[in-house]
Amino acid sequence: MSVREFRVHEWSRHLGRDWRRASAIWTVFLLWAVVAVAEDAVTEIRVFPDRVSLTDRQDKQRLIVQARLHDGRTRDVTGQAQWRLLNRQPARLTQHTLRPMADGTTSLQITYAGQTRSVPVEVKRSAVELPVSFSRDVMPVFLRAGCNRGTCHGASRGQRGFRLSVFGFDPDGDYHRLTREFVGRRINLAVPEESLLLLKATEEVAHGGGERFTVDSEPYQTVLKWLESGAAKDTGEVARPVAVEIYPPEVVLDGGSQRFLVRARYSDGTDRDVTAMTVFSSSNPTAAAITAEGVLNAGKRGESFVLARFDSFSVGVPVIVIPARTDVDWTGVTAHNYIDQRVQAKLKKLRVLPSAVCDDATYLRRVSIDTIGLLPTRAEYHAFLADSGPNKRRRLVERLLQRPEFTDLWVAKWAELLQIDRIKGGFFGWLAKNYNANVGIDQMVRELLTAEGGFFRDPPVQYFRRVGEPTKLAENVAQVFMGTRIQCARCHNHPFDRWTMDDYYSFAAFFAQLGSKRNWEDTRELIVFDKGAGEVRHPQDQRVMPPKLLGGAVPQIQGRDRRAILAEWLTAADNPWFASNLANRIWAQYFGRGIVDPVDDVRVSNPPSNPALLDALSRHLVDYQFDFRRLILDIATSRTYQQSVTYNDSNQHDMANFSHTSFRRLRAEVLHDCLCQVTDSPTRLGGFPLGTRAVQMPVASMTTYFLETFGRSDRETVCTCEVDVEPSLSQALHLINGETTWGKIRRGGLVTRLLAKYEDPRRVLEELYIRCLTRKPTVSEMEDLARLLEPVAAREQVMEEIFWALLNSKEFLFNH
Amino acid sequence: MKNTNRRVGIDLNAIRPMYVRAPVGHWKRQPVLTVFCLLGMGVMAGAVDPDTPAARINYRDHIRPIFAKHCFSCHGTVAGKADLDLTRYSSTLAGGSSGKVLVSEDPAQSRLYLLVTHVEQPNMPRGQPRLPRADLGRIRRWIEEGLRATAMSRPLKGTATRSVLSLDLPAVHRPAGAPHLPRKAALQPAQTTPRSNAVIALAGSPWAPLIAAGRPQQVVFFDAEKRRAIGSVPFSEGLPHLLKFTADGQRLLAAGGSAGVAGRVVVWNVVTGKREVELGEAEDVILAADINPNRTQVVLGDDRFLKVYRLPAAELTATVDRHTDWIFAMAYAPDGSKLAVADRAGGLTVWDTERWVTLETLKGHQGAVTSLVWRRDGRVLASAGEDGTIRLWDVSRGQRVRTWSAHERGVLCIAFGRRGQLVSVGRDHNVCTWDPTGSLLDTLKPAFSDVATRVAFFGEAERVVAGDWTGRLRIWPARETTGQNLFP
Repeated sequence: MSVREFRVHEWSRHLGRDWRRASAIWTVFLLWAVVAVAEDAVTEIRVFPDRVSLTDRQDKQRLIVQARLHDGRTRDVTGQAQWRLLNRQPARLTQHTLRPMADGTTSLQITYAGQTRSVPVEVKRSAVELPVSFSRDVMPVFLRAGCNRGTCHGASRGQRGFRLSVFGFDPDGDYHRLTREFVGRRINLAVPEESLLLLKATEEVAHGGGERFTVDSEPYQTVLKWLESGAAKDTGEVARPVAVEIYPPEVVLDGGSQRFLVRARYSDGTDRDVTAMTVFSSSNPTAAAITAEGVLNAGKRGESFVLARFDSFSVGVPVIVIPARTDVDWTGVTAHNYIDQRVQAKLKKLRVLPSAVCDDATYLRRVSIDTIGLLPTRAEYHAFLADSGPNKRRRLVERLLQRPEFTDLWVAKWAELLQIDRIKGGFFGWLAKNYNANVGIDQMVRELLTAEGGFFRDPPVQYFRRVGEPTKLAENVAQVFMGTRIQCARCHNHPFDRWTMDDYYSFAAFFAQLGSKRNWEDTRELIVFDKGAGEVRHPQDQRVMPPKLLGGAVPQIQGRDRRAILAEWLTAADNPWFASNLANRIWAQYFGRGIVDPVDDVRVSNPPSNPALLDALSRHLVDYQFDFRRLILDIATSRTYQQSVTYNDSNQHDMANFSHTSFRRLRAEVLHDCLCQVTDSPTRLGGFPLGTRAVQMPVASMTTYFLETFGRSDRETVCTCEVDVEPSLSQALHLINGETTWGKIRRGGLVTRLLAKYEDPRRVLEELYIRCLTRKPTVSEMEDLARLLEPVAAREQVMEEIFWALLNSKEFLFNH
Repeated sequence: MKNTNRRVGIDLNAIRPMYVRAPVGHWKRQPVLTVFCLLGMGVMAGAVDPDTPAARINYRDHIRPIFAKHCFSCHGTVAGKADLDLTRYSSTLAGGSSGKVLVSEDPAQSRLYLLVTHVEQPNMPRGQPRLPRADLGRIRRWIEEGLRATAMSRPLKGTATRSVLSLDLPAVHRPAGAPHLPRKAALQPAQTTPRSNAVIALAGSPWAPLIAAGRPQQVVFFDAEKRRAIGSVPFSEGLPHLLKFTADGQRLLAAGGSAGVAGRVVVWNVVTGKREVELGEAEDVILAADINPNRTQVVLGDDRFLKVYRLPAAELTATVDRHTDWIFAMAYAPDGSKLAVADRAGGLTVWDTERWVTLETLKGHQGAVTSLVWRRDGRVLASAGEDGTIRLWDVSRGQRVRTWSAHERGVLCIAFGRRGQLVSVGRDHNVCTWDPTGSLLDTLKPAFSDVATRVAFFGEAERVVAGDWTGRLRIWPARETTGQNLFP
């Protein structure tokens, strides 16, 4: 009797009831469709880029035209629009691409569906032929053609002796390896087109990596020109890209295709159309496949994120593909607060209808598990169902948030992230004390990051027990407090994100001046202090890296503790990472999935599924002065959180947009505590008093087979992936045959007590159901089970079996 | 400290007599002359220029003044660091706390000489620049000539086990007849391209003023005296990666090919321009090859395989799979009995060329070995590599006898001269000459503007030709350290 089966029954009833209304909608829809086929109302046309500047003889810029329809869909109308260049002297237009002719200005007029846009065009230095630069022009070729991928020449040993820096983090090294490492082989300056580099890339000669580009392609021509000009090393300052833009910024397709453009801005103020040098990828090729040239083709309904990589930049565009001609009925769907508004706005774009609101009992169970890590008691169940006052769900959440178990749950979560691995020194206690006192998390983090002193007297100092490893500390701070993983940039520029090696080592520099010494009064104690000296060096050229805030500025240090500056920046109200990471982690606790998911892997190529929602949540968290409880109240009382697990046709494939509640297995500690709770049989854990719950355990070493099997965090890393909620065979077997379930049923003696208390076994059944599943048995369940309980002699045994079955049911093991 | 960084502004003439002197045994074989010289020069000792062959370098007149100027402050009677007292002849010979510092007739085993030439550590004089070139030359000659106390003293007898680096090389026999030069009719015009490749194939004729350099599809000959290209022979196989003259200068071997497609080895008769050998079915360019002295065998490196061909049939007789990476260099010993082979991973082996068994595996190079050459007597093998070192190996004992850092970031090519001296080029843009023990003689000027890629001796006077990454070729006239451009 899985939850799913049970719910489907309810759903089919719901369908049958409304045939009359459905047919009315159908009629309206048909009428609308007839009109729509005749003319999709174009509300706006947009031209990208909106101004063009051509600054040397080889410069060029392609343009695209996108139309927005009345319902938010977009179309690529580049081919259908009328193009007119007002003054043909400065530039010429071929295949939607502008190329320079002479210095001057002109304007490009583009007309579609009665709307006209004008694009100013400026041509300068049209006679200047820029020399091909290795770092600016040639390096992007290796990224685009895939030469420097980690599986090819980017591997640490290269391929067949030829290595390129992975994703091009080391242009100087690559220049050396291409031109001088193996003199006479890779390039041929006497006959440039016979350079092995080109012969291999075009597969003119056998190449393990196959054909990377063709002779008539832009990459080939760029490399050839560089060779023809003598394969010179860059001299002086070469303009480097400072920003990369992708157009169009938003795509909603119901079929057809959309071309993308990528433009890079350079440090000398120029810009270039680098579409042909960009690597495109789609996160969901079934919904939206993208070609190497940047043309996206709509596939099946769904969402995708198109990622464009150029140089060390990654930029992306969310793409929505909806079925042609769909509409859904939003009657009765309300928005309780700002959360619902943003979730529903996204769902409307996707033409997805959210599920209905769940019943009171389901809500009670769900919010109790998520908020306090325990099931509602029988008394709570009855009280809540009997409550007929207004806002009873809100009042319930408010009550739960004041429970000490709420604190326990979050302290346990933070203990994982801070990798608390010892009881001595009171780090765990410090955390619990702060939480109980409702100290703002920003203040806690400031205290933590600037901690100084001895391990015993100043508990947060223990966070710096890995004091000698500034890079590790930097990685952890970035992952825990900013939700981004910078580890890749330790050895090479991050392939799917913005982080470069410079960013990495500059960020690590904040922890470079930490020192430690023994306390000579008590030699067990380590004292951590700010040495005021010490630097991090770049491993490639041994440069001293000045502390630079990740994605931020180079701060003024002037004798201050670097960590204090970091902590101030991190917890400032306008820090783009901190609040949104916290909000996302809180959200994930209540939905089993972050808006950015995994919650500690924010990157350009893993964008939030609903940026507006995440933004609103983080803004509210800042406004609430980082009071978790207030944000949780908003979340738990939103309609979105109260949605049923039952899905409809439109939202059954939705995983990321919170259109229905998803099934979530209880995490190890919570499941353990719930088992103890419903069986009245606590486990003694690690020498703590009987009744101490698993979430209250300060360290991971106090464990049981049960906790390990169900994926409790070992706290070996700061990754949220340490907590494993994936079901496994050993979990199922342990529940079925293992000592825990049966042992607890027997030791708790609950069945015996209940049978003694109630004469009617039906009352006992009801109580067990309420305890385990927070609901009464259905009529058919009651009938079936009562029949089994008729023989009085076997009653206790059968009742225990039923209890066992309930504890093994998915409805118990999952939150829903 | 790298040897290459040391600059000693002394004319090559100062040290040159050292090389052209007769072997030490010369004195014993001609007793009459010896007696005459002893009588004559003893009288004139103070007057004779010590750097002429006639001078009898001795402790009292020549060496003690050098020691007095540079060494006495530490190794004097009073201070006597390391118990070494250089103020008296007897105590100098007696040595210091670590034993004797001088071995008669054997500079390569004389610790004093190795330390003052900075071949071994610690460099002497401690904390001072190296001694002037002329002083080093005199110390060396003093040791070689038997450590005379005064001009009238008899030379001391050398030890039985002289270092292989101090051995006298056999007399050179110049082949009879005129040096081999290509006939006019044998050559085609040399082609030039708008831009040059790096010099990757370069060879100097051992007796004629003739230089061969590789270009796409051809091998160009230069007349070093007129300093111009005189013509070319076609190499339609692709790009030559290696050029080598045979010891008599009569034949020229080329290896190379078309990258990723095919590799070939060709041998021409220099005079007629006729191809005498064409072989190799490699699937990529051949970087290393050689022909044995009696022209019965050609070896080549096909990727990591050593392939042996029998002449004149040009049939493949053996394939040796012992190296783990691409074979970068190989060279027959002068008598053809051994073959040294080296690869990109630093592997270096010596083979018996009859039975094809490994005689030695010489370990030490980190990274690719770029160049292998044999000293004329076949006793010493020199190897150079991307680790920046030149290593000298005593092949009969399988031992490394000297290692030094020659060019920062990598040595790309070396060549042995007839007197056991070496010339080398590397990534530091320099061309350096070294004496037989590995002591820096000169850094030839001017340095190249880019990586110096290949070097060779040419002609009877053993002049130096070298090329660089930009395609420039430069030659150094005899007895001068300042070079002239050959091309462009």
